[in-house]
Amino acid sequence: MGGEAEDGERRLGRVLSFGIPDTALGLVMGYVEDPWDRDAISLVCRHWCRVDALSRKHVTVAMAYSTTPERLFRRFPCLESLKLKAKPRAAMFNLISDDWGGSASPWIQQLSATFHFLKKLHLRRMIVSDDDIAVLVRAKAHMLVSLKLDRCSGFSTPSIALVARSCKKLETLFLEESAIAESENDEWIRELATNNSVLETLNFFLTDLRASPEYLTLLVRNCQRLKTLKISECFMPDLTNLFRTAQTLQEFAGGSFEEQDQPVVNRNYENYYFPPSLHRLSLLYMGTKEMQILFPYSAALKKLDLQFTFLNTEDHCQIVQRCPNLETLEVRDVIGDRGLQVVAQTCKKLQRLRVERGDDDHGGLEDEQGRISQVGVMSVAQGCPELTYWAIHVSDITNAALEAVGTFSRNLNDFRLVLLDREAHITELPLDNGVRALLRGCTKLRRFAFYVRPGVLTDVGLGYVGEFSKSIRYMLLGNVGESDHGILQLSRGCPSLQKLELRGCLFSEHALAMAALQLKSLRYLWVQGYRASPTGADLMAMVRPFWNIEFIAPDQDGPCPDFKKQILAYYSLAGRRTDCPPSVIPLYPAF
Amino acid sequence: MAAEQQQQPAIVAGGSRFAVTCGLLRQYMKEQGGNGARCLAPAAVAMGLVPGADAAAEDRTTVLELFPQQAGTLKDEQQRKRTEPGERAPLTIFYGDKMVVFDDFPAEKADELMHLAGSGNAAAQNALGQPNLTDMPIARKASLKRFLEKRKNRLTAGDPYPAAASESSTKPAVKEEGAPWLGANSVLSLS
Repeated sequence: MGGEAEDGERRLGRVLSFGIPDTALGLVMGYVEDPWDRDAISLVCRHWCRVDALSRKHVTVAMAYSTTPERLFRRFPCLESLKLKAKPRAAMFNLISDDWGGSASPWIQQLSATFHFLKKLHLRRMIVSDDDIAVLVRAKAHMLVSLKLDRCSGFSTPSIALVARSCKKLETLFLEESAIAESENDEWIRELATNNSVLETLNFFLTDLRASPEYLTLLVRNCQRLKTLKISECFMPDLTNLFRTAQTLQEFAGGSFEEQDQPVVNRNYENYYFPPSLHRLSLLYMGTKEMQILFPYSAALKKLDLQFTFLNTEDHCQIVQRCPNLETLEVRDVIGDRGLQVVAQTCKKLQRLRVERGDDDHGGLEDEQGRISQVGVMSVAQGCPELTYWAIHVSDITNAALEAVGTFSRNLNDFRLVLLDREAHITELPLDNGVRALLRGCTKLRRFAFYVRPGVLTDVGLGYVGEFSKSIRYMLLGNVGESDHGILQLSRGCPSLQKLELRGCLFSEHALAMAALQLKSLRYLWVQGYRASPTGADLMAMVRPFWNIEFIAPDQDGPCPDFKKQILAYYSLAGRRTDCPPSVIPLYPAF
Repeated sequence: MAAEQQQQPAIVAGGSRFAVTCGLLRQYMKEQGGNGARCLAPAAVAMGLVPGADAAAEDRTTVLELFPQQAGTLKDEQQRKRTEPGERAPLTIFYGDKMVVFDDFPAEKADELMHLAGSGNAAAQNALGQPNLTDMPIARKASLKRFLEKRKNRLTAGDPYPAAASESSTKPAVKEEGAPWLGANSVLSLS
């Protein structure tokens, strides 16, 4: 049987290969960039797999432990660009301990020794040591065009200085949200300014790195192609020279303003100069007194990030109504329903909208109007038909509002809703029908997050999610379902679901295991908050070849409370992890 | 302040117990293929799930004729009863300030439930092996959390006791969870 099938495959391969000359195949392949298309092509026959492997320029490894650097090199020896992600997304929410793992060392060792064509490296949520950077620079300094250390940790500013000094072709240096030691030392900016003239993107937004305005101005003067500059906190009045120099700058993030309660210095931001090419802005700590800085430029703005400001609801309304050309807007929920109604009326070109959770830790609101409900959601759905990405934290929501999203927001490929738990009452329960209408309408959805409160999505609703999410690849569900039946219903559908994250659902280990077996495309599962069996033995029902199962108990100082326990399961060709800290217990494979 | 802090845990615990109970009831109803339209027994049973009280079972009292029209169909009903595996009755649960009504609740499940309620809260919760989700607040993105802390420090910079202010800002939030809204909406969903 096996032999016949293999013969058949070989014949098919020969037919296809003979049908299309290698030169033509190579030329055609050059135009296929979508990794999903590439995957499909590589499955046609061994020859096509080889042609794809040799011509693949970029690979994203969504889970660094799912393969080994050696294996990746064997298959794709000609890679020019590599993106690696390690720690689970939960790490961005402080739910994963720092010692979880995700060291870049084995990768950097391998790619420095091999991968002769590599010029772009993007590491996300990984640990990168100073030694790693030294090894990388020694091997690839003459090649590197882009280095992104994205939400990474473990290195210090002298290493960035080394990169700046050595990598003269560097066009992109990205350090956003990384935890970097020796943050006071900003010599690296001077090194970059004096050694590099081709830089286009410098990003150290949301880091603690100090940056002196003089070095930054020098950098802008020397790197005349600079388009994106995202920095840390830096007093805006000290940056006036920089902006007068940066005539090609398109995007700026960072800065800072006076402390809010300081006696008014009579500083007038009305006439602050930004270069005319600047279309994307994010200003840290901007308050009501300073928002006039935006007004002369607001009509041209395509992206505005107000997440890290002191603005109230009214301020948001004032700003947004002046920005008819926004394509991306990022705010906290202090914008309120009223602000969202202004967005809906004004921003007809809006494609991406993020509404994060504001400061409600003590039960209060930042602004008494700063709360989002079905009213705001409905307005945006009706007013912004171009939305492709929409993440929102709401205090209340109804079936009708979700239905409106399904009816009007037909272009969404990523929708994420979190229902906050600060309101005592929400208007309507359950929201099963609303979710069904949303999923039925938004047929382009690839990613879907629905993090709600107990009782909002019943087992029936989970069944709908399974049934109407044909093309969803990533899903996050929080506090959904009533019983094991729910997750089992869901797992009967979701044919494309590759990555599933569950939090605060009362599913048993057995049900989780059964669901994992049933979801045909699943390759990554993360769970926190579930009904644990005394020994964890029930999880073993999902054991199968290449399926790594790890148990995470973040608290090592005492018994880990149930609600902190996590399960991480993923397909891997690398076998069992060998670098587990005490908080990570590999359940399978056993060795 | 002290009194408030003392009260909080009680509210939280009560909330999750109530949630557990509702989930359990719903599951029972499903297992039994319960259908609200078939109201067979003449009387409604009211049950008080008083925390930790063995007296709960004694509180069982017949209270209301919720379906008076059934009086005229007594014979019919008796015939049907013979074919039914178990006796069913409307069930009303009062818990704290909340009320839940089930139209069609099997008698043997009601007995089990009484038993569960009488056996104490800890036991009831452990029986379900449910993690205490009230300890599981919605996580905030680390970048935003850092900003909000800085923001708070900036806003309280004029405060004569900034250290105390920042301390309170890092204190974990006291959450009001579950019970109030769940209860209110369980009632709402009946209408």
